[in-house]
Amino acid sequence: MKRFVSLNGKYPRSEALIRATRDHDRGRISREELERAYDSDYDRVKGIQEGFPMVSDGLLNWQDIVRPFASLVKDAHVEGLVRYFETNTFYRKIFFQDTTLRSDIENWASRYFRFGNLAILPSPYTLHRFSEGISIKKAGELIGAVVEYLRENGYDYFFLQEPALVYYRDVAAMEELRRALEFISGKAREAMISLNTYFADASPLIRDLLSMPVSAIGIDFTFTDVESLMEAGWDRSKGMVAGILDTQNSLMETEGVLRPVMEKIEEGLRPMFLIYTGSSDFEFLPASIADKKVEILRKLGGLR
Amino acid sequence: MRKPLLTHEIGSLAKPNWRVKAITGRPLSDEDLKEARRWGEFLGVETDELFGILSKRKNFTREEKDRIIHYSSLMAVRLLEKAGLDVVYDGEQHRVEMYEYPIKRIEGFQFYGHVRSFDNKYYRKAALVGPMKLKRPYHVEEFRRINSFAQKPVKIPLTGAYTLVDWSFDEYYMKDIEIGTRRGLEKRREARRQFIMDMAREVIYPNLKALYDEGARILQIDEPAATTKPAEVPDFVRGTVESVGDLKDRVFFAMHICFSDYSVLFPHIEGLQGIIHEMHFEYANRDSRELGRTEKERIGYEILKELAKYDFIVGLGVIDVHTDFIEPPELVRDRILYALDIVKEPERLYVAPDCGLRTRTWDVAFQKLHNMVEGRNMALKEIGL
Repeated sequence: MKRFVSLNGKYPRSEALIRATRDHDRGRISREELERAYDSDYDRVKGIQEGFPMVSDGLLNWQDIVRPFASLVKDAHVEGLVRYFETNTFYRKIFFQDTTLRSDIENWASRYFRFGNLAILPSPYTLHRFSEGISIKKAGELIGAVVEYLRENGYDYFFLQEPALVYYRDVAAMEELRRALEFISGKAREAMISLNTYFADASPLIRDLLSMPVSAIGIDFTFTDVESLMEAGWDRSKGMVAGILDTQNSLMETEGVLRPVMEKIEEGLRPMFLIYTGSSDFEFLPASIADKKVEILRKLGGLR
Repeated sequence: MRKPLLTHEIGSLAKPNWRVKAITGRPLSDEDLKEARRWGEFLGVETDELFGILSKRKNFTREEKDRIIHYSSLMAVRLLEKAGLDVVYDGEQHRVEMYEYPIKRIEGFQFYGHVRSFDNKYYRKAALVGPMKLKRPYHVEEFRRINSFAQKPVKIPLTGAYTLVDWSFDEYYMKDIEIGTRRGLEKRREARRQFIMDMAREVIYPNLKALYDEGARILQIDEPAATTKPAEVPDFVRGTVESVGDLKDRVFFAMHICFSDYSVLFPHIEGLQGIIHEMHFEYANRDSRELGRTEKERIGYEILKELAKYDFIVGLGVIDVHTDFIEPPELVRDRILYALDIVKEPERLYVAPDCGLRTRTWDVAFQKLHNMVEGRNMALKEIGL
């Protein structure tokens, strides 16, 4: 079984970039100075992934996991704040009026995908659920268009972030999601796609999840126990993105904390391949703590 | 504290520029001084001493900073009194905000850095890294000072146990608990419960008791995080019961929860009856601005029907704190009378803004609160009181 490590979701901005965005919002620094602060932080995020086979830009300029999609289409706007599941973080709901793709996807993608070969995007159901005026099918078409463009431009790995499906246990949405994922898979031309669940126990839906047309399923092991997955059974033709580092807590995981779950995953479930990562977005941690957790990942990946 | 349609505030007010700049070390401008003089005159506060200090413009001593905070506190109290509120506070003029201020005063916590709240807004987050211990009660001096000049009864707000826990990392109770196994997940839930109960016992109760010993008889527990994790609402309730302890019959306790899915509180808050006397939610933020007393206009007040089944005094948010729109007294009146139709007894209905008014200027806050009292008076008149 091949084992890898990677980042998951949005990565935290450094304290310097947080200060720069605040100063820019208050008119204290110019756009150019802000961009320099971003560039410096992109270098940091690139540096911590040295040796990783899958490299993400950390989505540093995404305000939330769906926001860039408001500017991908001809007519959409964002409104009031909505709590992001059971966290103390909030996102803005998108109201889609015209979901026709803007013609300048190249400019859009260059703004939101700065480097790397791993693209992290919302899954169609989560984009649909966080918005008004867009079906799962249409969300799949938008995401598919982005995946197609990125695939042609050097991206080999795609994480589709899907917290909403397991959180709301929306079994009725499964078929529509399956069709949307088939569409996206077609655009991905054999790239690796993982449907990453988090913020809830994935075991009640695991049979449905494993039947999805993707290469891997992501599991948040701060909510899901491995014994339940063993009882349900894992499809060994599917990989797993295993969220075993708690991104909601600053406590550094020790070997004793991680070993039991890793052994059970590797010996009891035996997925086709394994990608160890954070349980959800690393952004829930301050940058200094997230960087230390990535060091743990490096050790798990045998990179240091 | 039983008065029909009693009015009070909820917590914060903006901090005046002259106060913020003086404390953070930025030089004061002519405009800042003018602002201090304008509000002093409007509120009838003698400001000669304040002006003597502020005219330095910068490099204030520790003693001078304390006097500046004294005056911003005094003016904030006078602002609420002039608006006509029945119960007052100083709008957190002594505090930074509601998380960092208390956490800094509890042993065992360490601040790490910022995490995102939304957009480019971040807050500093701390972790519990060792046993928790209150350094010393942290609102007593504030109460003493406010009570020394307030001309109305004083209410002191305090961030509750559940919210302080939910907004913190936990490296102490969670230590060495394995991840991803059935046994580990159950232990993590138990660790969380322990964190909440210890916060209630070791930090919140001693604070409330110290305030009681100092003479405070109206206390507000703020729990904006209460509904964040629906499965933990029973733990939030247990933590509140533990926080209040034997003070439940000696102090009037209000609880403030805002911008939440209130439905998940039911039926668990049954366990807070007899512990918490007033349950205050935010409603105006969800409501229409149309005059009227039917469900059609009062769409923001739906949860009242559920809350009214319990024996709490209903704290009614009638002022939207996120807009400069000044609610006309007639709109406040209609919101109150609609609620009264559900709650029935005017002694069981208290009137307040949705939340603290810290994001509004003092001019806007004053006008909103003044109209809130006017609207309350119109409602009283209409029901013959």
